[in-house]
Amino acid sequence: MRASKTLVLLLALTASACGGGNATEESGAYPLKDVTMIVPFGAGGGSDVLSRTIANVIRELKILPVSLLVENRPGSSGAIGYTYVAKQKGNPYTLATVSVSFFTTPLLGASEFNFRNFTPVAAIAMSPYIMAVREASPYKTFDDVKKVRRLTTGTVGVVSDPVLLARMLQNASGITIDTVPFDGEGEVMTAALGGHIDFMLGNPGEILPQIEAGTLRPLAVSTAGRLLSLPAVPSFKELGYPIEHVQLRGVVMPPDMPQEALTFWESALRRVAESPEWKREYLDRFRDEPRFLGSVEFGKVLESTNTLYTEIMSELGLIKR
Amino acid sequence: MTTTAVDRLFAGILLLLGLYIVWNALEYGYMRGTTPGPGFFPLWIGLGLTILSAINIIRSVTGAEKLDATFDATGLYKALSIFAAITVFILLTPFIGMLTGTALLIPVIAFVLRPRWTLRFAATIAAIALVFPVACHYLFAVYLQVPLVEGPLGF
Amino acid sequence: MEPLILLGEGIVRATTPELLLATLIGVLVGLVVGVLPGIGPAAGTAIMLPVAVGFGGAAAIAGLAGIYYGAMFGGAVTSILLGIPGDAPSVMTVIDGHAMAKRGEAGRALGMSVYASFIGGVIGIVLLALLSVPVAQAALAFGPTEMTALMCFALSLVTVLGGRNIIKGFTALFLGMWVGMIGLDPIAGPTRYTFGFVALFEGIEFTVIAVGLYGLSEIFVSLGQETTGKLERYSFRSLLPNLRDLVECKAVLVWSSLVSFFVGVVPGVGSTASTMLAYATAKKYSKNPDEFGRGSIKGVAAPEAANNSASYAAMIPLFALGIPGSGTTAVLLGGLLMVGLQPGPLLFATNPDFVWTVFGSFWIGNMMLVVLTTLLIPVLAGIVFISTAFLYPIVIGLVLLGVYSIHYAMSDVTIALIAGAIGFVMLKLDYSPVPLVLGLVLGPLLERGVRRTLIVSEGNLSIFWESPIALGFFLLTLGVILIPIAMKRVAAFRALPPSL
Repeated sequence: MRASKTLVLLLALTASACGGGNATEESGAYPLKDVTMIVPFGAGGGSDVLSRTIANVIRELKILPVSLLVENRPGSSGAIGYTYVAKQKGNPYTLATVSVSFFTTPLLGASEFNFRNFTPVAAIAMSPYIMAVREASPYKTFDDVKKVRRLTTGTVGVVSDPVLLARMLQNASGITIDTVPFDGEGEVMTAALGGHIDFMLGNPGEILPQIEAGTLRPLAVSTAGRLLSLPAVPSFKELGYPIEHVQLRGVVMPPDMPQEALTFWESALRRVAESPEWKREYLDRFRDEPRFLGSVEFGKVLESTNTLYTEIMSELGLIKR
Repeated sequence: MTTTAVDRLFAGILLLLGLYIVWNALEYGYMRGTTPGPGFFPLWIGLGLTILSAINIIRSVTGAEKLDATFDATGLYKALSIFAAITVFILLTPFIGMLTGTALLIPVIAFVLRPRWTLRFAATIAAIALVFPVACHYLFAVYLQVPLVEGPLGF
Repeated sequence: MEPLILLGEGIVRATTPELLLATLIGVLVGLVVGVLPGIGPAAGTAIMLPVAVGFGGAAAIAGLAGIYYGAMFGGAVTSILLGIPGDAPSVMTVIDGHAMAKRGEAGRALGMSVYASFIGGVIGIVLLALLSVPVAQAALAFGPTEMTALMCFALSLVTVLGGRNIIKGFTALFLGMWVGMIGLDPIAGPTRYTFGFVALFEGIEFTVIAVGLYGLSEIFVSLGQETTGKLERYSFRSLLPNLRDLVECKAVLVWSSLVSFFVGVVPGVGSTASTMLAYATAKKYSKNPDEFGRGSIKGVAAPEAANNSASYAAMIPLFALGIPGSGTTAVLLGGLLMVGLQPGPLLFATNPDFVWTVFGSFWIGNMMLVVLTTLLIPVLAGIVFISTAFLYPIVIGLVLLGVYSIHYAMSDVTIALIAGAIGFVMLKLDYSPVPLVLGLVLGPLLERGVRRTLIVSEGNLSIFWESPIALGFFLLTLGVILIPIAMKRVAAFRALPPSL
């Protein structure tokens, strides 16, 4: 099976080379059959929605001469789906999106394939984190927070971006920050709105509707500069803390990817990221910020993100060496 | 083996399980700083299970606990046979697929339940063994889009 | 009564052919995933999400929600007829429903499950329409502290569900709580009791245990009994639903619907735990608690009214606050986003037509389900006439495929088989499986509640009595435990001969 796939690919590469090596991505020989995007989680979650929106936009933009199919392979915190992708060595017909579990599951020892076993393709959107308090909170601005000794915040699961940010903030500000792990985003929001935790860190998709309803108040954002959607809210950097961490919505492929396929997808995803369809169907809907990173840059971000998670998980005693 | 003996054996296993839970709980950590750690609840649950199982053993030995149920030989044989058949099904699934597996499992279970087959019974079971996987293919794989484990023949 | 007028208008808007079709498809899928053992509403909605989104707008959400409450109707069928919980919230229906079926009253039990589901549904929808916003605000008061107190109260009620031998009941409860702790510790992170199996990292799914413990063990146990001759006692008359039962159960129906509605609103509790609480209180405050567990019609009425009512309650945080409180409502949230709506506190204000149309579709879906299930009862109840030699191979096949379909994992099938074997031994040795499943659901909620609370308070225990809601539940818990003891003492004192 694998041999025949390689053969097909070789033929494809030869064909395109013979064609002058100048074939555009649309007319090139490469996608000879349907491409599958693996979602290592169930339907309805963030990764699923991201993958399905990418597939929709690619269809609308007619980037592919074939179909992009979305397939859910959930289980074992993403290990089943990501393992499936990592094992498709050199298969240019498999894609997957990146998530927090992409890093944490292998670090926990629950999967033998870590980020190095994948080919980074591109990042096509960026989701910042917003630090917000409930409307009745005594903290009106970030200055009010600086004076307190200790704060509590919430997270989904033990290792997450809010945990990372809370640790960074604790180290930078000297305020003790305790993170309470909950079972879902809904529970964290309930705890924040009900005043059971002091503040929460969330993506714009969940926080902005609450801010617009007047139930949450933003204090700071985790990007280097201010957000387009919240021009009045300072970033941590502006406030004097060296904190910058965002979630990149990115795509990876199996290892040993032929350059042809990688280039094809890198430019295809660039077209997605820059299209008005993407803005309308993803960025506006999920309130993410536009951002595009190519394969090399995205690979560097994967590396540094993994380092961050490794550090925090060692601190928490979750990585046994 | 009498039901009472099984009762004591089961309580004994639970007692050992309780001790195992406690032993691991201590390793996980009773407290983390000022808050209960991963071992806090398991420790108490393990202790509870150990003590309750000890009481169950004592009650059984002193005759305070009397059981009506019996392990009749036929029932036990049938239950064990079906358990074994399902175990074989689980082990074979990766090689023959789930639908082929159920097609083979159905006559085996029917044989355990009714060892003497008439021609009519055999025909009915054969029909069920053939129709069931097909129906399940449509119900699970097509209608509910569940990726069932497939055998080398693609079903 | 303005909300009821809005609901009425929503019902009218939900009668367009497109919405009727989406609702019908939703409730049919719901019935199927409910009836199939193992696979339930969470998996059902997730599987159908891509299809439903294709309907667009209110039709998409009407269809997805239909799967959720449709599964509540369907779950009772397998629970009653086969003793296998069709999905997690119908696990309490097995206790009395299957006992009734074994007595030859399958039709009566199924009939009650339909009435109860419908009444629970109607109460749930009306409360959803009337009280969404205030109830959602009240649910926010439930943080980890209040959750801990609620779980203590729930566990104190477990004593009435312990079975004949109370010590064995508690043994099963502790065993269940331990099983609930297998997997990654959700608070501190390390894995616990996974024996090195990666398949156990995410913990053991409740439904897998419930199907094995009730369903497979029931099959194993019944093999030992001579079933021939017993079947002859069934008559077609016994398969007909009975309207008189409805009058007898009216108090239980209303009470269970209300209890599980208000408990089910709290994000994180879920319809299974609220159904358990409703069943336990129904038994505890029944004039005749001993009839529960032995095939009482009220034991079918209580959980079925409760799980339907709870399914609508679970949607309140989603629609009123934009908060998904359970796995199923998280999928609905994904659906809302994918059809281009922004869930959040402003959804009612910015898209009132949409929200009320969806609520209207609940009403219509509930009506559809009553008609569908009433028509199906005679057919379904006829299953009792099928010889076990034909029935069991099919049922076992469905159990194996249904359990696999929850997470697409063969390891779950293995776990269900082991649970079935343990359940078989437990039934023989008079350990009730009920406390085990209660421990499995409530134990982790209690543990997480306590540990979260103490993280917030830095280990300071006074937080537990500083919250008025928590204090209230703790006092209720004490009352539940102490009052029967005190009453026994008084009774014993009165019974003493006067000379002493």
